[in-house]
Amino acid sequence: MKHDIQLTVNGIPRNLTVTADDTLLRVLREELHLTGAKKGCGEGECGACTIIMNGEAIRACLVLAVEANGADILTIEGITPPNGITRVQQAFIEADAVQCGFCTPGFVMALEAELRRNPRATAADLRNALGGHLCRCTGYEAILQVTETLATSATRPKNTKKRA
Amino acid sequence: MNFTYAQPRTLAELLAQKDAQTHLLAGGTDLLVDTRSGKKSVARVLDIKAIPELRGIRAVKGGLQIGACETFTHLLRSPHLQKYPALRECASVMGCHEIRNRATLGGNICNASPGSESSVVLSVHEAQINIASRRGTRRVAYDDFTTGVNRTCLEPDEVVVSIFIPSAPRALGIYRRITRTAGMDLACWNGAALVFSPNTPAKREIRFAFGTVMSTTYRPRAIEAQLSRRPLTPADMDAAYEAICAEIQPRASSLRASPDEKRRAIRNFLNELLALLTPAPTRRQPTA
Ligand SMILES: Cc1cc2nc3c(=O)[nH]c(=O)nc-3n(C[C@H](O)[C@H](O)[C@H](O)COP(=O)(O)OP(=O)(O)OC[C@H]3O[C@@H](n4cnc5c(N)ncnc54)[C@H](O)[C@@H]3O)c2cc1C
Ligand code: FES
Ligand code: FES
Repeated sequence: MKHDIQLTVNGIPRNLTVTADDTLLRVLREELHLTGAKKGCGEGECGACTIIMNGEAIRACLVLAVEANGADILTIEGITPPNGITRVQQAFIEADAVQCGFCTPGFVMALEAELRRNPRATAADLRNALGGHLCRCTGYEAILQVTETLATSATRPKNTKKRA
Repeated sequence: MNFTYAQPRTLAELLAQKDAQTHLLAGGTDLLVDTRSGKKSVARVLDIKAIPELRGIRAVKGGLQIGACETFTHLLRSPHLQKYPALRECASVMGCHEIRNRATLGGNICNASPGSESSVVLSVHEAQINIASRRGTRRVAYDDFTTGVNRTCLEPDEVVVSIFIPSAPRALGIYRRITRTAGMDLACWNGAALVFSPNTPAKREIRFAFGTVMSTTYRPRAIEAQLSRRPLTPADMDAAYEAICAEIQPRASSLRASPDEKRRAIRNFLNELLALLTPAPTRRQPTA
């Protein structure tokens, strides 16, 4: 059975026709060609397909495309400001936390979601946000370094006025 | 996967369509995995998330009413959960962020896996499950709701509307689990305790429940009674432990933890409970 859905993806309104059993992940990758989100396990275990839906990190392999009707979707392709990269992406580069890169969009989106919701996230909060993410290459040390960097910059933001 | 999808807007619309051929989709974190793996054959899916009657976390007379489609993330963020520390703790360790953002309490109890996060907590709180169908409504105690591994007392036309958790003022509530890794993993074993009047031995009422040691949540009421309304000694806990070990039947074929590990977890849990309930000059009395 076909369903017509409307959703916003990275700020762009989209009208799509999907089947009832289509996953959001397949539609993002194969219809919209947003291949940043990866299919690792397809069953919620690895985190490679993580995107932000209505402000919350979710696993796109465990959400049907029809369930995203009306939703606001953000993928790794949509997080960068014009002419730049985000704090999270910068921290990944500085810590050299990428090897093959397959898991990286998932890790980045999980940290983006946490920091957008909780700008003062501690290193523990950020580590917690990565609890369901697997990486087969880096051994995690460099990725954990990212959480430390982000927590330090989150608790002491450069351009924020002190509260009275 | 090959199924049809519909999204009823009201409880009445849902009940009109619910039958044996229909699977309900809440967060989908069990249903979609089981459909894809072939464990479930699914022809028709009803997405119930948007139904207002299945939402809301409300303080009501005598306790807390939680809509079946409330997610673990919503539970964690609800200020009401401060008065239900064991429930809060279980919501904070369930799955991972992305799973908690979708997974619902209703889905957790209806999936009825033996180590499901909420099971032991709902058991010690003596939660009541509100069920509806075209035939009317009924309320079932949580311990009677789950009838086996992945089995509940729900009839094919029934849905869970909400979960009622009686309040437990000033009770001590704890939730513990063991997992194979520090990251995301289903509990290999879990346990919860709720202790009323924790600081007054003569009035004290102890409840505890353990997961993954029987096909449904294990709540040893007779043993609880022996430990209640009296001061406790290590010997009492030894006796309780022996009595529990004589009753439980952890499966040797479990993929996650051996029967020995589960018994050790229960021993540690009882030791911790004793320490929390035994006055020590240096230890502050538990309050909650
Ligand atoms: C990666 C991963 C990690 C996980 N970690 C944990 C964990 O740590 N602890 C844990 O306990 N579980 C865990 N789970 C399992 C799952 O997330 C939970 O059981 C969750 O609570 C299910 O809720 P849901 O809303 O996603 O259910 P769904 O998948 O939508 O539904 C589950 C079942 O319940 C039925 N159902 C749902 N709502 C109702 C209702 N209102 N009335 C009647 N029937 C209903 C559905 O038809 C279906 O059969 C994990 C799953 C994944 C994929
Ligand atoms: S592909 Fe979705 S969690 Fe692995
Ligand atoms: S960098 Fe290869 S899986 Fe993480």
